[in-house]
Amino acid sequence: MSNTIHAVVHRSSDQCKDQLLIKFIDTLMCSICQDYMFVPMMTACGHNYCYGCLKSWFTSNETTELSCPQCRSSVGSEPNLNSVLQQGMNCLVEVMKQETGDDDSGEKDYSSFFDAIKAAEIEYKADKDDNNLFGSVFSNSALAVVDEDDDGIARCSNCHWELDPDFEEEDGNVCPHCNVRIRNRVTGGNSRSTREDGTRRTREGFDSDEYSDGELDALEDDLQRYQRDSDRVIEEFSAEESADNENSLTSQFNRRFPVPKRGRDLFNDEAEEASSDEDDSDKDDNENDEDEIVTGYRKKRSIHHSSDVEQEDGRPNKEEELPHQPGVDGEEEIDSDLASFIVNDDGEVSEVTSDDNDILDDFRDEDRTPNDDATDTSSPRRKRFQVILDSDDE
Amino acid sequence: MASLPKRIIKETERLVSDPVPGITAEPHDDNLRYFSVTIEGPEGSPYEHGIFDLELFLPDDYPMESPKVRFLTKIYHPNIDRLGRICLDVLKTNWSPALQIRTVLLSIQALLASPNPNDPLANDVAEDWIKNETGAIATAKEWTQKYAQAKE
Repeated sequence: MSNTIHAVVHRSSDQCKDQLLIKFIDTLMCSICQDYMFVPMMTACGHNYCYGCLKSWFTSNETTELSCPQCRSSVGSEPNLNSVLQQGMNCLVEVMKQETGDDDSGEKDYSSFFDAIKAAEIEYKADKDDNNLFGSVFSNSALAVVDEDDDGIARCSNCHWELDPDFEEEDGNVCPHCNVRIRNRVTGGNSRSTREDGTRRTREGFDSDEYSDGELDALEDDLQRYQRDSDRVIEEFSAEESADNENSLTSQFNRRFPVPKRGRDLFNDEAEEASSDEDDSDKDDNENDEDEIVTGYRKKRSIHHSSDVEQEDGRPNKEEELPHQPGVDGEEEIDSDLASFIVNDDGEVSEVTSDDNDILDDFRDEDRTPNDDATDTSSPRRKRFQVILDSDDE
Repeated sequence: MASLPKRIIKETERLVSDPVPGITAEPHDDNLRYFSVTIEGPEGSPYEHGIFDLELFLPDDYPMESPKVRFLTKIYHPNIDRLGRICLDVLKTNWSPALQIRTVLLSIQALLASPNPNDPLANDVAEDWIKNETGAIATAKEWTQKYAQAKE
């Protein structure tokens, strides 16, 4: 059998021989430097590159996964010298050395060619002798390996220690057991769970390698449908809530669990001692604070006012009024309508402009008058609120 | 300029002697790492009949580092922003030293033929593309008419 090919080549034309030879020589070309491979190294996936080219590719990509330039598959083990290719290369070099001043190769300057070969061989030999092939990128590192058929947990290829999915952040990409650097990303297995809990569930959230196109589309459709459904439920619910409906959950809740007035006072009792000393300074030196308090006051007043109006018999329903949960019975709308009005204690409604200080001054004076109710001298805000309640009771 | 790597000289020679259909790339005389590129809009795409100017620069680390490519002609494309920057995997994380100038330019031409609004660079364009594809394609055609015509 082995003689058949020899015989065929021997019989073939010169043109055919030339073509054959050129094709063989082309296999000696490195796809990185587009030059001859003087020290050809073969990866596990079967692709060949110069030692120097592969070394600079690996060392320039040290932090990420090492990949084959031609097929992008992960390079897990150190590439070996491809001695068959090197023999072929040496045969050609021998021919060149025997030749004297030929012109068919197009290479005139042979000496620089031979120098390049020598330099490449010396680099490889020196690195090999120093045990420093590829800048030690392989001997000082390991791969995170996931066995999907087993438990799907990433393990260090060096010591088989389990790697936490977040090990990259926690341990600076180093195996916690044997301390070698992990040079690839953890793919698949437990890392997927961390990817999926993002709030924006878009296509980028999925590993496109894990799903076919149809699957991704179906998943996306499902997600959008769920989103629409839940949006609709929320909308219906809030519409029901905002409608002035006796049966709304909030008003039902408030009727069932009214916050008693005493409870509020008890709370004030506790806070009384702590804040009574700061009372005066708070009022005097912080203008903004005052404004904020006044706004709060206005808000409370306007609600009282509105509930007075709403109640046909003129008697405000205390139970409904006291628990001032936000959002109860359209408080927000009422507030914005009446925000610029303030109700005095004697029932007058006056408009408040930004520089209408009279009312604010009255308001402050009122604050400073000692109150008979001993339980109510805590924070300024609470005190005012109590004043309002008292005046309503009268 | 320090000595140009043999690979760059070889690639340049081949781009001239064996050009890719619809693509031209010429190095500048004063900087052989800087190329003026034109790409014809692919047939059947909204960019058909357009001729787009690009610039391409080979960094010092090339081919360990990807070439830097940018559109100079305005283009309405979800993966190309208004500064002409291109969102293409082989120019970023998927670069490999086995790729060349010609393969990169072919990838860009392929990107014109198949825009990917799900991995956008120009967010407004991508949004438009997803919501109203026919409208976006019409805009892309309009821009091609307006900006990407051969200089007489």
